[in-house]
Amino acid sequence: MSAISVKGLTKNFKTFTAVDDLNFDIPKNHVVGFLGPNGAGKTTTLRMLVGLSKPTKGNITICDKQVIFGKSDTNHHIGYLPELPSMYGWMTGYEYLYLISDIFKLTNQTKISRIKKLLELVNLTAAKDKKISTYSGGMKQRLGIAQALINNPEVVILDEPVSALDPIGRKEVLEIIEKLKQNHTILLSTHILSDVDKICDDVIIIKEGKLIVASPLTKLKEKYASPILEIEFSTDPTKALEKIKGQKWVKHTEQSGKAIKIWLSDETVIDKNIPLDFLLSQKIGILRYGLTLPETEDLFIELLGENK
Amino acid sequence: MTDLFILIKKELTEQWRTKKILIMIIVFLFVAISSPIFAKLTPELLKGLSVQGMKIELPTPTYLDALDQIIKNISQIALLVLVFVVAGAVSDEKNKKTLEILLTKPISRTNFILSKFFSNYISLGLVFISSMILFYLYTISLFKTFSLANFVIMSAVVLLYIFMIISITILASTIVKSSIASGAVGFVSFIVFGTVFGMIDVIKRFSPNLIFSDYKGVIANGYIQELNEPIIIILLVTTASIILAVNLFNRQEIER
Repeated sequence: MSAISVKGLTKNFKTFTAVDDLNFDIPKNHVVGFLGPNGAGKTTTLRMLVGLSKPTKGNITICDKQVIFGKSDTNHHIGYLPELPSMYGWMTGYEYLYLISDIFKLTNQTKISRIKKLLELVNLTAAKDKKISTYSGGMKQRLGIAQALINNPEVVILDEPVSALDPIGRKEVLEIIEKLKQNHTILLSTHILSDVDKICDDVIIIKEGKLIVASPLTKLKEKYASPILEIEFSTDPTKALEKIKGQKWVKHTEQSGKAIKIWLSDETVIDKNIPLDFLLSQKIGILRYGLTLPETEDLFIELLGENK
Repeated sequence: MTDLFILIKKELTEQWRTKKILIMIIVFLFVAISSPIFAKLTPELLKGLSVQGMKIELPTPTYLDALDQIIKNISQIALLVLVFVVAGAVSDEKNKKTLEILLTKPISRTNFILSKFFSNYISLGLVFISSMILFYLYTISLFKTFSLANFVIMSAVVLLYIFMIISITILASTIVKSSIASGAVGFVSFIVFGTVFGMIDVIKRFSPNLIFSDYKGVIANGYIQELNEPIIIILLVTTASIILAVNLFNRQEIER
């Protein structure tokens, strides 16, 4: 049984199609990274899942219940954290969680113990009586996670939960998500692909509103990712890169200063030293040369066909 | 607790903590206390201003002058402040995005909007009633006593008018994005009721603003038939504003 099922989901804004016939299923208790470049339609999709936006076409079910725009039935099963969550600044963190637990009609005893547990989980016990308006970005994000979990939802939907945070805040939030992995289905949209590597079981990649791939991360790495050659030069390799791009064993390239990454179309060229011979013929100093294992970021670039 | 009750409680707490209600308490109390004082002191002040040799004869002030003052002050100062206090009820939540999280919880959108109407009716209603009690007590202490029953009828009619202006402003706040724009709609509606209705003979008797000119009749005789049409319009506009706001909000997508 799927925790989230999306069929033919489409969203048009006048003449612009933000989400185009999207289909995917997310099994229970999986952690799924929802990826795509800026403007791919990730946030629009998530907002349709939680009922804030109305689909133009298509069907969404969450825990076997259909999401109907304007109705709140499926909201019992969801915990949602929007990107840059806004909460009532005049309330304290504790009062906000109390309000949300009131809405879920938790008994007084459950309410108090649940809030206490969540404040500990998100490390806000000491700040629970301070006004939300005095919280830092990281504290608001952590409170946002706590409010999303107050009803112990089956499905947790997090929109860019760490993008606005400093490294310490990011680490703290990722640790919380790690702790949630065992008992919740988590759909997480993010730009930080190394985070996906750390915590996700599956990925869904979309571009221009269309599904590129939905698959377990390990399978995807095996299936799609080409071997990557990483080379660091002693001087600027821009001119040589133009020639490298023309070689038939090159699929994509990416330059970062004096270093380049080459996605190989044929792994056997390594055994024959073809890339190394070609680079030596360019008369440019090589500081480092080696083959690396693909990471989600490399996979992302490969799948989206970007050639920076 | 139903979600409507939870949301009304939240709204009332917010009005208190953000000092919106304090502004209204100050304005209405000022109106309630200053009106009888001005009525009492105006003739004295004018006497003091009289030029040598010129004699100003003014009638002795009565409770009717105090009523005159409070009706003017409510219909001018208090309602203007009220409109801008209520204006951000929905639009501020949209602009600040604070409604996003709440709407992903099991609450009905209808109750979310109704809580905006009812919380303002409760808080501003209580402020108005308190100020009118204070006004009555202070006026009868300065002047001679007058019919409490008729004063209650007059106050009830004015309260209905206040509820109508609150409702129009919240409807505007549901439609437009800025609280200044929704405040302007509330204020303009007040002017429209006063001018447009007044200019067209056929509908003149339906003008909700007639309650501000017919109040002396109510104080003297109790409820008067001339108020029927304005009250019907007030109730219709109030009900229509609530229904329209609920329907519009139920269909609105929450933009990022």
